[in-house]
Amino acid sequence: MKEKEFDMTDEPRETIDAKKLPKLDGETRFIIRSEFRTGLTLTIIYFLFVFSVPAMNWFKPDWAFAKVFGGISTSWFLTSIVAMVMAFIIAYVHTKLYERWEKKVQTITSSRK
Amino acid sequence: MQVLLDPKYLFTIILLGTIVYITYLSKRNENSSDFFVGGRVFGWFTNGSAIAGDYLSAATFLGLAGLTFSIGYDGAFYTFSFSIGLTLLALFVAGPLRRLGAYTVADFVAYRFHSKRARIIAVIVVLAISGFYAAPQLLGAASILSMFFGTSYEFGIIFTSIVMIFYVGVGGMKGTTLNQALELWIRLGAFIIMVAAAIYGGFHYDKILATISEFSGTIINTGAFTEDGKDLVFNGETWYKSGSFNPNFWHSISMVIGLALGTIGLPHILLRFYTNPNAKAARKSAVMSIGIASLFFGLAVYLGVVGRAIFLEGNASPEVMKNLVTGGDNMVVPSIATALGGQWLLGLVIAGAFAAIFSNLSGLFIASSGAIAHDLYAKFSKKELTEKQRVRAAKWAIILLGVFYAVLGLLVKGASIGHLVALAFTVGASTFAPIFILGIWWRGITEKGAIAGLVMGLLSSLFMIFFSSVLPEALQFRVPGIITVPIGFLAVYIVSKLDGKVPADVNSFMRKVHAKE
Repeated sequence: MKEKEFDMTDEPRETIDAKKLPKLDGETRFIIRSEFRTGLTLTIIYFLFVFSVPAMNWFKPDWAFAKVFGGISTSWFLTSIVAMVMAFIIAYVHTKLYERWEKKVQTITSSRK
Repeated sequence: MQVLLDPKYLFTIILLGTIVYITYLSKRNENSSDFFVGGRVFGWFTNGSAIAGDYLSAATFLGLAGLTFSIGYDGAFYTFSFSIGLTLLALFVAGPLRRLGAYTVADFVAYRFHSKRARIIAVIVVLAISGFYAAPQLLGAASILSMFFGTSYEFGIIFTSIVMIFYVGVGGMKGTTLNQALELWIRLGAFIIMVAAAIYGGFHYDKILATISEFSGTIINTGAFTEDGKDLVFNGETWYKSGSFNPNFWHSISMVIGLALGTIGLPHILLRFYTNPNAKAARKSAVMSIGIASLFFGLAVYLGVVGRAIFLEGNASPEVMKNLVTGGDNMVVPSIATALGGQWLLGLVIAGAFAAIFSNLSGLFIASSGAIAHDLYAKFSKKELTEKQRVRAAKWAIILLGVFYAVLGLLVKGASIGHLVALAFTVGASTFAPIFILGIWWRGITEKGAIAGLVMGLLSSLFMIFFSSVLPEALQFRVPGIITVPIGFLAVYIVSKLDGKVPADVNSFMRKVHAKE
């Protein structure tokens, strides 16, 4: 079956049974999988940190609110300082990985040509 | 003349003058691309600043420090939950969204599924989210005007709406972006000066947190401003720990889910990624905005703690003590500014607060005017509209929205800014977040699935916001993301699986939004 060109329109277009959908071409599949894998890995790392904070607050409050530096407890430190740095680092690493991966794809594509 | 030299008037007039100047310079909006997406010419620095400007509303500038001041650790946790969303947006949505190259949020939904029905539902959701978001911004503006310039609440709402109609109607996305970028640096500058003044004044984080956590008893010099004439009582240990806002673990998780995913569903933030020239610039803009927003959130929590320390010392001026006792959360930042730097710092903070409100409101006006003029009027008009007619329609939509938002602003008098904004996040998290994430990454989503997700996400959010009192206490969440977000995602997934009819050009769509430029 010949693939339809994507049309930027909201006029009704042909539909197809999801089970009969042709496979994506190799290059797009590779791009989507690697992009998604990178995003998902970083999200898992990030959310392990994010969910560990409330888990610690509610299940190990003695650890969470034990003062480690003056009046700053582990939870205050993680929530108000580390979390802000972490958000930036995750996004920055993602952009850097993406740029590196983009170059790799470019090399593969040009070597195929 | 003497009045104009008062810092609060001076800074506010400088801000308004700058807005008028930038708006005038960028008034040439020849076509809809200029008006809705600023001609897609903004690089990562300008757009990153504008995204942060759009995101850091009055709720963040005034609300987060205020929440930390009043509820302690849970206020810091609230801020932490806000800080997650932009990162998720950068990881999964920013680049692909820009590659699609549409004009509005509803465009994505309509083009992805080739569906006018989906467009109409998306427009309704855009207007619901922007209504929930715009009303508290107007409330914030009216409160500041009333508190510092002595105007009535109603005047504040009408004045701000008129300023916004001019600002967005004349400048379009070009003027809005430049103004948002400038306004971001004004309020960040105000925060940095406040933090420097606090550190110089000896309010070191570790020391003040120790003092607050060990405080137990009455706060001196507060009795003169309380209704019963008695000094306020404060328990530092409760303030220092989790539990004053979120009563248990699941409430904390619900807040994280609602606020983190809510960012992905905010139309005015999503729209900003269309204004970059390419996907690479969109990703860099996202990183830049995350850096700025994270710094801002960190400073907001610290200033909330500083405010509490100043309050507990009890020796600030009677005006500051009165505002901290009676002014509510939104008066904490102006009060800290007065205590730390007198009238000049207060003037800068007031200008910063207006900057936050204008910046956020302008984003909402642009997103919603696009929804009305581009998504409804232009798309459903029987005749083909010229570019000039489209721009004119957008300007009329802005006037209409100005009136609509003003009415909403008048209705929410006395409500909490932070809470109303959290509700807008809940709707965004439960409607657009599932559609954008699944629409970009899953080929199996169908038109019916998308519509079901939008409708179920919207209805469940509204139910949890307005009628949750009929549910058992365990299900009454302040930010009900833990219930409404899975409903949105599951509705999309289940209905798509049952329907099974995907657009035949879905592979081409995937190539368009994911392929390398």
